[in-house]
Amino acid sequence: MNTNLKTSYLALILLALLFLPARNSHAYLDPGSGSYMLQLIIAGIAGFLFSIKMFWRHIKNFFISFFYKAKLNKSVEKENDNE
Amino acid sequence: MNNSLGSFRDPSGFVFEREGRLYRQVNNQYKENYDLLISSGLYNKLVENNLLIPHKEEDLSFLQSDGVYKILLPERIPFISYPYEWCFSQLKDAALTTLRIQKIALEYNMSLKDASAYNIQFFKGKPLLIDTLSFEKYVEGKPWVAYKQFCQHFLAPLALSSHKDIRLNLISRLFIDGIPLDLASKLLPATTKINLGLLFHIHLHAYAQKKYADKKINKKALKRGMNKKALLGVLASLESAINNLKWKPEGTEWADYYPSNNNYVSESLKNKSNLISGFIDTLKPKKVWDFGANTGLFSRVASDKNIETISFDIDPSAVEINYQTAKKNKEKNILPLIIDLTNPSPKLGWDNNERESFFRRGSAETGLALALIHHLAISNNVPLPELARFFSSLCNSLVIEFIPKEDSQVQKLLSTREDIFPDYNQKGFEEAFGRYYTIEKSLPIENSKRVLYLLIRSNNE
Repeated sequence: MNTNLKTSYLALILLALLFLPARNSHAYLDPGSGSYMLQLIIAGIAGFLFSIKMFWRHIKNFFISFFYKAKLNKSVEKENDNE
Repeated sequence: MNNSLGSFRDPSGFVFEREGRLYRQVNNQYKENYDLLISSGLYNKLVENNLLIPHKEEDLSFLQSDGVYKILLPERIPFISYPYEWCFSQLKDAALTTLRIQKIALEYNMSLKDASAYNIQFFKGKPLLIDTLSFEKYVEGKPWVAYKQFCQHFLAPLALSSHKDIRLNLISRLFIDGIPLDLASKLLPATTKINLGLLFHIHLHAYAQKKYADKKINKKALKRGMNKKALLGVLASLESAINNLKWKPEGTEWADYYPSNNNYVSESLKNKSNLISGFIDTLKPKKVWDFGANTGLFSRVASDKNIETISFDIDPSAVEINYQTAKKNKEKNILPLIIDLTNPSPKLGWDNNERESFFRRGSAETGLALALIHHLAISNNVPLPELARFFSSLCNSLVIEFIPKEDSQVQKLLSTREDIFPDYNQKGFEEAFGRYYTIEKSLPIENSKRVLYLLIRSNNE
């Protein structure tokens, strides 16, 4: 829960820092500048969280292989099925 | 040749009617995207999975002019319905379908250029996309242009229904392009700020909209942009936010209607079903509208006979149960909707002419008005002659139940008010409806004082 709150505050700070004028883009729908900015931030966070998830999985597999070789094969299979 | 209601905003093309058939014109400026939709295989993939309405290309050479690329003949949706008429799960399924379509589109290097709830219709029991021209070539790096619209049309009403009150879905009627996020953010309880999905896609989104209201998009930030994986991450985040929104249909007066009711014993329910079934077999209608259908118990007498049935009721719980049943049994002929008969959906939108009012959207051959009249006549003070006129303007034939004052349900309705209804009796009923209809049959319902009528309109126009 704490990490989530921290990420939220980080997002708010990023929002406050982002600011610049530019030409309007051509589109059927007006996506809204704020919506575009937020999406970029969420994408960044989603990508960041995804890398962390991968990182932890790496660490977990390392420890599992260190102690339980058989269990490693099982857990790698399970993760491949989930993807 | 006039554009169909609501079909005028997209320069790529529009929908129109001609000689009773509905066509979609594809303009030249959409040629590239249309060709890509077909050649990439996206069209086939979506149609195979019942996610996009199939169409045929028509050769209407007399309509070809300079700007026109093609004329399409899409399969016709039997009955158009709108998001403010859908129950919780119908809107949720429509939202998930939109996201699923966008994910598949990205696999074929295309992307939805809008995410309007009005682009989704229910066809054979399931939500699908009807706007074939909604796809454009995906340019990697660009964020999803329809993100804001998705949040306003789908996420906001679902969140308000789930976290505040189910009736708030009706707010969609007031705003033609989905619920404004700042309004949703204000109405949602503060505890939703702990929910990550709602925090980002509603609360922070509303804040970002306000902050950047007058500013143009930063082209540099856009260029850095987001790759396809990042975009898929955003879609996954939206999907998870939608999936986490839940609503249970209970605690409203109708959801437990059948078990705890006085004049309803299971044999008499069966008997009533059989009578209705017999009447429908006599009429052989192609369409049935069940007025005040509750959970659709008697609607299914018609839909089980492969008759296209619209099953509507005022209570969101009853309609939710109706829809869940239809989903579970994979029913294709029944469309449950939330409609208040005393205040049905009006005409909305530009020039009050974009979204049609509910009762003008189609014709009901046969109407079912079961366990209904007393609510309209007694609780809502609508006189029997006016009820007769109303039904006659919509239904060629009527299977209608008259509930007399002696009935326990009517006694309940009269218990808290003065009986100001001297003409509410069987004679008054027959006189009122006899003005427009011929009484073909009238049969008593077992174990009750109710009478089931089969009425056929006297002068069929």
